[in-house]
Order: sequence, then structure tokens, then C-alpha cells
Amino acid sequence: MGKERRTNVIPLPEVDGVTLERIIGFLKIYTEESFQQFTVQEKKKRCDEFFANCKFNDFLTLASASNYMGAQVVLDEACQRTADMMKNKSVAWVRKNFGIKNNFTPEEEEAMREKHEWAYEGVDPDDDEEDII
Amino acid sequence: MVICFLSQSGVSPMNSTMPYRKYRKLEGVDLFSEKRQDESCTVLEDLWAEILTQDESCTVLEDLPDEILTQILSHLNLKELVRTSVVSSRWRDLWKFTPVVLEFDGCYTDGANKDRKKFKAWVNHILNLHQAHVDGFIVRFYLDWPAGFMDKWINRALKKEARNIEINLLPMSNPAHRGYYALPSLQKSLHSYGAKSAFCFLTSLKLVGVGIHDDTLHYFLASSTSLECLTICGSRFTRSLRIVDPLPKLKHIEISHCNKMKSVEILVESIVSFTYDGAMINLFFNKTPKNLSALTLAGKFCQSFFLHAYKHLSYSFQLERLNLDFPNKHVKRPLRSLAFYKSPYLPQYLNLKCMEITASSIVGRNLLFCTKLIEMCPLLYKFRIKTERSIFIPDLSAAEASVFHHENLKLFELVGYLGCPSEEEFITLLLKIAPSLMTVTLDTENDFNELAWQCHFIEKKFDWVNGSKLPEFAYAKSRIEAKEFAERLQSKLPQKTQMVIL
Repeated sequence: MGKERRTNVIPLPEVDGVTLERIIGFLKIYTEESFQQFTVQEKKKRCDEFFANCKFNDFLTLASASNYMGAQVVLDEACQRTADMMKNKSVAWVRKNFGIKNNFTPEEEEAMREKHEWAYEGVDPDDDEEDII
Repeated sequence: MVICFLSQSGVSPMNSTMPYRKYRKLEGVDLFSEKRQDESCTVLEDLWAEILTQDESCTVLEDLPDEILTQILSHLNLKELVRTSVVSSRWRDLWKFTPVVLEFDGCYTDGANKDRKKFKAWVNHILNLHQAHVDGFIVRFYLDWPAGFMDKWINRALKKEARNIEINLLPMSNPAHRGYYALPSLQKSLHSYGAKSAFCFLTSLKLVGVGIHDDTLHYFLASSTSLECLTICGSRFTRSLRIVDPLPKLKHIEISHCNKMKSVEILVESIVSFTYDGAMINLFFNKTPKNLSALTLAGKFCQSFFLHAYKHLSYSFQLERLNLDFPNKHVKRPLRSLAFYKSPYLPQYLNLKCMEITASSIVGRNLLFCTKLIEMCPLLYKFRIKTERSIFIPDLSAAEASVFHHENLKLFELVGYLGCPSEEEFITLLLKIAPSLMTVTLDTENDFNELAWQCHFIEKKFDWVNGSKLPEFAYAKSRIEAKEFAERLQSKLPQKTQMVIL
């Protein structure tokens, strides 16, 4: 990967410095022999350490950048962590925290909810346990 | 607007060492240019940061193309995913194209079944709406009649290229219970599946309570070149299984409760672990199954492995993990079988690092026999015994234990610890045999109610038969008591041996 050398002038209009550092850093960890020998829990712990100081936006930027660069493992990790943040949260929470505008009319929204009533049960921002219908 | 300009401005150069967000903020707003070097923020700066962050997150998430968004959503479960359809109009149909794992659980956690009609309607509804490929298709639902809709579901799952297919039709019952559903013969619909590797997307197949005929299974295997895990449980039609290459990724095979099974031939090189629960069958592996390192056995086959070990040597010599679950019927003898002692041939498992035994036993019976098992495995690192106890009249035979030296045993785990003197005796002996022992784990999980009832029953019977009181059974009557016994035992252990009490 020639992109590793910072003095090399390959334009990456989609990727900024910090994200690139992160991608390279993660790939370095991932390709280490010792990492491959870890159990699933140990791998997760190591990745958690690596991403400890990343905020939500960072994961999205990471996802976009690694998709552009073709780094599949980083993309998977970034997507997984973003999804983890969304897990079992209510629709309103998702809209508020991810800054998505609701462009349904109240009637449309009601119709959509009724269509899949079963999916809205057991949601509680504080409760991580899902109820089975 | 300044903010919009910021969002669409160019990214920072690759050599930037400044935090990304701060850089973007500073690009268009001169006010804070002097504060660039300053670590501490003013209140105004904080406010700006907040506003800008919010806007940034709005644009960044909405900026992502659909492909990435669906990748993120594919990590959610079905309920969470369908909920996202109402977030905004862009998200309305996203879920239909997300390669999610379609998991349909037809049972409540307490074992009761959900309403059958509703469940069927729900699965059909989702299958009709979802349009793209799926990552997995899992159905757990009690089914005991040959249902046509099950055929359709399986066909849909295959058309949607589900990588992981699990059909569990006996979710809460004993798999030995006969399932009535049978997988349709795929020979008929061969033309719709096309070429030889029709199921090359399939990596894991698990069928519980689904009757599958030999030829259908072989067809499946021949067409699934990427298969990694295969589980067949409770299939009443399977008689003989022959697994041949090309199946370069097949690592884990599990076969259990297939009553008509007579022979299993596994001729693939890549197999790593094999689990079998059932009657005695002819089991063949490749001449040298060099990757086979884990074996789990239960049922009568397990007994044979134990008592007639010489018959199984061709594939057992290179094992690293061995898990033996002895059948419940023979409560009186599993942990001390005379045949074993008298058998002239005790194999040495020179590569075995971890051994786990699950057996029934009697409260108070000594465990010293287990030292024989440890002696068989010079490289053993972890030894785990799980016992389900019952109360019978205790036997008073002399302890039989071999005395030898073991250099590698580090972990010992006993599940079902009851504080009996025989357990303490065993642990003390273990410490003598294996000075390398580092951790002893005692799990006090037991069915104390059952034990109390049995004890009461035996006492009454003894009283009636012999007219005298039964000598006291020394064991813990509750989990707390068992833990106390364990703590007392802990104080008798040498310093370097750690004890974990569960």
C-alpha cells in the first residue's frame, strides 16, 4: 500500500489524515500474528481499546473512508460499532442523536408503524433486554 | 450560510496533526484563530463546537451512500431493522435491501409456543417484503407435521442466498423426540437451482428435527462448496453419511439423535471438530485426519469409546480436546467401570490438552478413578468433571487410584461440587500427582431439591427395610453451604494454587 507513506502524493479526496491514521493503525493490529491467535473475546477487547476514543461521527467517517479504500475489515468494524449504538433504541432516539429529519407526515408515520406493530414492542432506551412478543 | 460552507469544504491535508473537527471549524471562522493553540475552550467555542458537531453528524450520516448504510443496518436484528423504516422517508425501504440475518423465534423464553398462525403469517410477511439477499435464515419453531409452508420457506432462504441456515423444529424438546417434518427431495427442483455449486454461498447448515434423506443430504453437500459447519440432529431418515471432498472449508460436523444412522464416513481433510451423540455406528475418517483436534461424544457411542478405546484409535490419537458425556442410564457404574480396570489396553492420548467428562454419579462415591484418565494424557492442561448426583446407598469399596507424576495439568474444574469428603480426597490426591496445578474451580451448581427428595426417600426405605437409621450423608444441602465447604477446603490448599468458587 503506497498510501502508507505520507510524503507520497496520492490524492485521497475522500479521506482525511486522522481517519487514514486510524485505518492504517487498525490494519496493523489486525495483521499481527498474535492478534490472529486471540480468542473472540480477546479480539473484541483489543478492538475496543483501539476505538476507545472514537465518537459516533468518527465511525461514520471511518466507514466511508474504508469503503472508498477497500479495507473490508475496518468497514466491518465501523459498521458493527455504529449498529451497536443503535441497538434497541427508539426511533425518536435514533432521529435525535443521529440528526435525521423526520419527513413523514403524522398519518404516514402512523400507517408505517401499524404495518409492523410487532417491531415496536419492548423498546426502552434504558433497557437492553428485548422482550419477545 | 457559514456552516454549510464548512461542511462542504475540502478535507484537511493528509499531514494534518490537528483534530479533524477543530480544523474544519477554524477554516471558515476567524474569530477563534488565535485560540488555535490554546487547549482550553471558551464558553462560546464550546457552543460552536456543539452546533457544528450536530450539523456535522447530520450531514455525515445522511451523506453515506445506501450501500454503507445497509451494511451498518445488517448488524441489527430483525426487529430493530424493521423499526428503522419509520425514521425518515429515505430509510423507509432501506431495510428491504439489508443483508440481515432473518431470525424467527417461534418460542417464548419459557418454552411456550407462539401462536402458530400468527407466526406463519409473520414469516411470510417478512419474506415477501424483503427483497435482497440475506445473511442468514433462522427458524425455531415447534413443528410436528409435514408442512408445505416449510418447504417454501427453505426454498426462499436458498434463493436469497442465506449464508447461515438453521431450521430448528424441536426447540424446547428433547431431540430424541421424533420430528415429523421431512426436507423435500431437492432432486425434483434441481433445474431451478442450476449448476453443481448451486449453494456456494452456504457456510453453515443446522437442521434439528428435520428428516433428511441420504440422497438429499449428499446433494446439499455436493453443492455447498463453502460449507464450514454442518449439524444434523434428530433426523429419522439418515442412514449413512458420506462426506467427501470438495468441501475444503468444512470444519465442524455434529450428528446427534439420528436413530437409523449406521455409518458415517468423513473423508475431508479440513475437519477440525466432530460431535456425535447416539448409538454405536461405524465411524470412518480419512486415513490421517490430521486436522481433527476436538471430539465430543455422548450416548452409547461414548461408552464404546471409553470401554473399547482400541477400536477408536485411528482417529483419537491426535486429539487435543475430548469431551465425553456418559449416558444417564448407567448411573451405578460410569465413573468406575470394572471393565475399564481389567482392560489390558489403556491408550495414551499424547496430544490431549483438555478433557471434559459429564457423568452421573452417586453422592459420596469416590472420584479417584479419574486419576486413570489423567494418567492417560501426559500433556493434559485442563480437566473438567461435571457430575449429576443422585443418592443411593453409598458403596464402601476401597479406593483405587494410581500414583504417578503429571507435569502439565494446570486447570481442574469440578461442576456439581457438594462438599463430600470424597471430593476433598480427590483434590488432595490431584495436588500430589500434579504439582503444576494452578487453579481449582468448584462450581456448586446442583439440583438440591432433587437430592433432598431422594435422600428423604432413601432414608424412609432404609428405615423400613433395616429398622435403623441410615448413616448421615455428608454433603451440602444448599448452594451456600456448598460454597462454605469449598472455602474451608480452600484454606487447606497450598499457597500457589488458586481456587475459584462458583
